[in-house]
Amino acid sequence: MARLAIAAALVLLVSAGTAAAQIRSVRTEGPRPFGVLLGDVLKLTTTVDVDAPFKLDGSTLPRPGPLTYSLELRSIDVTEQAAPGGGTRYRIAAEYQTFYSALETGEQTIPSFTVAVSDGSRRAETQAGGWSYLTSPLRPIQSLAGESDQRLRPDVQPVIPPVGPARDRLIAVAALAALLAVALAWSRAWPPFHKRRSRPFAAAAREVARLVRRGEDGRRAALLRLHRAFDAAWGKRLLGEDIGAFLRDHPAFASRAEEIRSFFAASRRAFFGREQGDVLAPDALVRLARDLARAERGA
Amino acid sequence: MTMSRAAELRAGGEQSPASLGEWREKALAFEREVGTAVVGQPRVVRLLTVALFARGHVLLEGDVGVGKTTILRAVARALGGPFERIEGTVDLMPTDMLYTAFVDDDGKPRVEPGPVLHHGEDLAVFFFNEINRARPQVHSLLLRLMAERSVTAFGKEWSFPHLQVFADRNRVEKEETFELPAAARDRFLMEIAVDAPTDPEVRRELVFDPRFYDVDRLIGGVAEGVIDHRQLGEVGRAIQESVHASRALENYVLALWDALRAPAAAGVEIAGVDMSRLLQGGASPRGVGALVRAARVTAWLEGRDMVLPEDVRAMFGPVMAHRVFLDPIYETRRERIVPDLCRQVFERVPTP
Repeated sequence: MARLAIAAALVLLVSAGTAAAQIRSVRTEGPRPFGVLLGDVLKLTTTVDVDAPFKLDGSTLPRPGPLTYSLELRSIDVTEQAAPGGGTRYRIAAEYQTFYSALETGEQTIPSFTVAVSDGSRRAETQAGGWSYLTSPLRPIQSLAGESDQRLRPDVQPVIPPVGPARDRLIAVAALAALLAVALAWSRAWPPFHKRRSRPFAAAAREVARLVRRGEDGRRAALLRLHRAFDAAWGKRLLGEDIGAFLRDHPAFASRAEEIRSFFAASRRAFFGREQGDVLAPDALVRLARDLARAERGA
Repeated sequence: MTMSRAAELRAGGEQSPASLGEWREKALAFEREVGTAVVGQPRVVRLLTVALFARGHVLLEGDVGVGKTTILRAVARALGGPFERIEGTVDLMPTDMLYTAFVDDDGKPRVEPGPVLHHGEDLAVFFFNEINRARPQVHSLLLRLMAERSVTAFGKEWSFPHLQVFADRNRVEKEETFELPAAARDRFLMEIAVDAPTDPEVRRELVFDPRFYDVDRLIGGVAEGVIDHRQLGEVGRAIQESVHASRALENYVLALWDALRAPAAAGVEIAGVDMSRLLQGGASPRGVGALVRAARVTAWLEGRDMVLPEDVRAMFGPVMAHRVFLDPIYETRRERIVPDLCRQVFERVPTP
């Protein structure tokens, strides 16, 4: 441990008056008072012995913060214990940091503060906590020829975080997502399952939506496309008078019976009637195709 | 009267659909009337009605005792007009149809007009019973009678503008029978298979109702002349003109025809049959024309003014099946193969 330096001599206050009797002794201790550089932290401990029933008045102590241009009080802490021979011993631990950039070695002082004690009616004060030390300038290291790299420490090796488990999870989730996408495509008869035999209406619904936008011929082609879907669903050609039998074989479509019948009626008018045209409205056709595709999924 | 009516029908225009509508009512009444005597055979009655209005001859085929003769007699009576029948036998000669030779009261041989000529040129229905028992010579006379509705007898040409030939053929015996030549079969508009009714109630009625024990009384109960046979020709023409067959339907019928002529190319497959060898011929243009004719009448009877694939399908079996001529090795299995062929043709050819 650094040699204990007693910066302020034990002060016996022998001056006349009652104040001297109440503060028995004040002593400030600090680290070695030389070789202090810019940015050093100095811890000073001031011990104050006080007669009973006097108490330390904390309001006179300095508050943490800049004290002077180059000195900052980082913290100040008061502890209390019984003093030998009665009374109270206060330890005031103050922590300073100096920002004084010395150009050459010189003396600097930490200013003292007022220690005040009182017993309620009487009051006594004294100055304490002052300290002086020698501060030295910072000097650059003399560079050595050809060894300039010594001034730079080697770069820290980058740490590679372990990615194995995360990669495995990613692969698993991606595989699951792909599987679900395939299942969805299968269920909805999207490509490459668009030729699925049990989903003729799904394929038809897509083509119908595309065809109805192509004018009169497109609408007729859309009608035909839907007819082919009915044929595929039934396994043979479905004519208008077979709708009843078809719905008996495929009850999933029974809820659309009315639309299916009107579709066949419209198709008859369009293909076999005397006046061409009067095709089912494109919207109705697309809707019917989608409804049938939905019913087909539910089957 | 008759002439003005026919002219009115032929003229088309405003009056034709209305009068055709009346004729449709009459046709349905005719069906009902025949149905009072013939129970459990609505399909056969409908086909016969179609044949009447399509002006086609009909060949009935079926087991013994299923009522082929009764049906034809009921139809003939409800149709009205002169009716004549002849039984086919092995020794029947063509002259037997035209002449009746007998010894008169004075002991002199006489030759009078035979069954065909008995009623003169107004003959409406000629019914040839058991046609496959007659010889090919008779068939050839019948062929002319059906095709041209005329014969030559007593040194002159007889023409029968209203004639309709009905024939029946039982399929039980093969002994001492003569299969109809292809050309004669092709002359029949339809070949209708008559089967025993399957409905238990109808069967019960047929067997236990005394009404059916006496066929003459049963036929006697059918109202006579529900439709005028002399106008059928005009009405038939008006129907053919007024019922519309669209371009799409024409394509459909042509596709069906192609599929029937080349079933292998259309994807038809029948178990145990080499499709490339199955057909020898048939499905003639006349046959397809008859199909469209019958389909138009069906549409008209259903109250439509356009032909639908359903009409074609309903008529396809009766009109086309007997015009398909199979390779001899498959001919014996005809009754299984041809219906299967017709059914598959309809399952393969896409409707427009």
